[in-house]
Amino acid sequence: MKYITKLLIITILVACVLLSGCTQPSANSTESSTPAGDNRIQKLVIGTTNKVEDTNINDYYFGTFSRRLTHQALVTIAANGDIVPELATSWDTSDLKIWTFHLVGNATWHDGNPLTAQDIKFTMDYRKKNDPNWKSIFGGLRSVEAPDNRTVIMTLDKPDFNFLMNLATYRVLPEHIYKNVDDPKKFNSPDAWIGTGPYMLKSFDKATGLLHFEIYDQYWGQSPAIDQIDIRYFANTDTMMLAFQKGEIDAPYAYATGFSPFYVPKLLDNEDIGIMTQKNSGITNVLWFNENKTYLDSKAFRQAVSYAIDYEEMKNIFTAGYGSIPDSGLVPQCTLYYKETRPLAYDVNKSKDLLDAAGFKDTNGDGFREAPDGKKFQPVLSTRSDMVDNVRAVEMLKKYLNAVGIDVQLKIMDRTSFGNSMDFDKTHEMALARTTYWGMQMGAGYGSGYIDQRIYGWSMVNDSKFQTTVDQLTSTIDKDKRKDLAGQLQDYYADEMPAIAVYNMDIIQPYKKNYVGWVYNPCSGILNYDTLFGLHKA
Amino acid sequence: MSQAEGKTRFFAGKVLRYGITLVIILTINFAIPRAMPGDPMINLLGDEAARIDNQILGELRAQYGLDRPIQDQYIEYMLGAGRLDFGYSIHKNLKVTDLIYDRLFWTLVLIFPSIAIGGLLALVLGAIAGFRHGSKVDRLLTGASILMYSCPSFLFAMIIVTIFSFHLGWFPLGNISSGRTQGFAYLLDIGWHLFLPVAILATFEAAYIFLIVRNSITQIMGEYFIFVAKAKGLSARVIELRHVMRNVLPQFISIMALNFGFMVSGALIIEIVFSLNGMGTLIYDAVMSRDYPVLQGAFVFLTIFVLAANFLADVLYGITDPRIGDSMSTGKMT
Repeated sequence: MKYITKLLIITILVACVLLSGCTQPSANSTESSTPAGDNRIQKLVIGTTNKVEDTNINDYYFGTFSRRLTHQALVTIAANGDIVPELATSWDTSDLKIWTFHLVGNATWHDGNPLTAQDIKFTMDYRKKNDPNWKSIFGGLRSVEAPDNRTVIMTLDKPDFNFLMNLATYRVLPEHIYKNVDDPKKFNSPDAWIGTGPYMLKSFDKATGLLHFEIYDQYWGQSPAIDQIDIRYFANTDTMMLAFQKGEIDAPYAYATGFSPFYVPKLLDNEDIGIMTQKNSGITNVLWFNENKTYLDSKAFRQAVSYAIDYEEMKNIFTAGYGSIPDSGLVPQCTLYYKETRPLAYDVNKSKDLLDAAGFKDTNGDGFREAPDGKKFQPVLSTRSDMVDNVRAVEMLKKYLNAVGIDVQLKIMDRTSFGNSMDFDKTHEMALARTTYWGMQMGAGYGSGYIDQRIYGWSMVNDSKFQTTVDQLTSTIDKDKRKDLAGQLQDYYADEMPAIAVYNMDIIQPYKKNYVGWVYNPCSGILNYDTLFGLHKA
Repeated sequence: MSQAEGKTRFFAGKVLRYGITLVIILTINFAIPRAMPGDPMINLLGDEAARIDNQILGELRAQYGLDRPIQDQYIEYMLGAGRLDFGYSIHKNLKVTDLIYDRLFWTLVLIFPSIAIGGLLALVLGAIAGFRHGSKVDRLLTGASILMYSCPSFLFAMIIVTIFSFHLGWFPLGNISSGRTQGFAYLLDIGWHLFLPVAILATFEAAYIFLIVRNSITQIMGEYFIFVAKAKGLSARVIELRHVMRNVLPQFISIMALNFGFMVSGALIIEIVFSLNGMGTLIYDAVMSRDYPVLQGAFVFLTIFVLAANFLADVLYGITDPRIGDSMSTGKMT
């Protein structure tokens, strides 16, 4: 038996040693690379859990990476949140209805063909026919004209201040390629990768999910600072963080979000790793009230709930010191025209008083309050099962609400069922869900898209006072007026409480310190032009 | 009845039984995804679903055939299953069969060596422990096996990755290959990448089957015919190999066949830890996004694999156990 055991151990060890000798060149080729210039970076390796399934333009994460590297839009979003030129050098509008864009003169597609205004018109007309999300983004776009090669005129049904924000996400496609493609979701050949951006996608390894980008020599703008970029897929964040600590990747990347603070202590032990923190322009967790549901339309009830929550405890548990508690006005402090409103406070007695005054009283002595009409009151609080922090957070909210006598029922739903309930059926009562930077810009901005029944409507607010403010904000250019209207919206949120921002976690973005010049962008994270053009060796 | 007729009747009976089983399973496969709450179109459209009008939603449903009567969908599904054509994935925009072939290939590359190594290890170690029932070796191996079997696979896999990939650096931290290698280097690269996932799966497989083999041997060793064999003066090795192991084999084959089916779909945790694109993550993603065509296609393939493994087990029973082989020949046992 001893012999067999020894034999087994030796066999395994020998196999390990032999196989480890077969190692391929490290994924982190930056270590072994020869710098092309003094400060140039030959290859940057980015790890991600965002999986590209296929390289057709309808693939969500292919869209994410191609928009960052290979494809461009008329305008883009800068690190400070401003809309800045990209393929359009300038634009003008007098009424927010007719928008005229003037294109750059020397942009070419990766196959050498010049970009023209006709490509823009083609893109909008083409995607109108085959993008299922078209109507939600550009439903108000009446027509696109290309009077000459460098001018595009877009006409909307009604004034829309946020129109540029939508354009910033929309990739321009080459007409000479796509005019022959009937079904873009089945078109994934290298021709589908052709854009005007500073990088070209050179290969996609389907088995590993590895995307390999190389610099486009004929790029119309200045040359980026990195010659090659690999996007390496990991199925789980834990393994990706191990690869990051080991130096196999230069930075982890997750679209529209950062990383858990629980990775931070381990990462800080590594002197090659830096941590960048940014204020979150979205909100990590918001408690939404569906005002179309009986009893939840009570302002007093919503306010009572707001006083029942121990925000400080939740912030400490879920953000580990990397977070904040937003005001009752919902909007994060880093938002343009943020207005200071009543701070969210934990006051159990006040919560109970508000509930008593609104008629929510424990009439049968079971420890829980009945509804004002005497019926049993068990509001349902739902969240997504795949978001671990959310599941823990609703348990805590249940504890707080139980403490003031609200017999809340938890409903943990899978992603699809939850989305169905919130976005389409509107069957939710109370729900815990995040907002993204992009989501906060919907409608008139300031999270109004989530609140307004006419748009996203998680709160299903149909109040004419609110909707008038939203409509005015959408059609107003004057900065002072916009500031005033934005303030009115935040006051409305603070007073009516259609949603409560429970806590907000900062965006935590780790990076390798051997490169300097990492910039975080609220829309695209670290994969933005500031990083791509400015990153250099330390 | 001649021996040839008996075998024909036996196989015809088996084919009929497996055919009926297949139809029932295919029908269940069709029904289950549709019984789940949630609309695949809403998932497909994501954040924008709320702003899309019903006309567009209707057109999209029509595009995927979801607007048609359920019986029409069922007939189309059964015909598609016959041709192994399940249309396009709602969520991934790819042809379902291409998607499954891709994933199934890598799953089989992962599963076959795991099952073979795990089964062999279980047979050898189970025999050692079973024949030395109550000894220190038995206690050690049984304890280790139970510990391994009860250990959460995600935790175990992460510990192995942390030690061998992160600290020792002997193996990569995931993926099927480093990418952009070719020829023999590519094969070596895959072998290097698959070493840890195969080792972990084989260990779990061995831990589970070890207990079955060991307990079977312990039980058989107490049987009367073993006592008779000993009384006849047969050597311990002859008794162990000819009498005991031969009686263990049917159970061993049966559990291996069952495990094969489960492992094709059940390597999910290993796929996640090692970032491998296999059937486990394909099915998981399809469930989460209500991707009916992928779910149906994947389940059909899994059903075929499970039935094929069971059929193979049936045949192997006949080879390992002459009593079953005889009844197959005479057609008395179906």
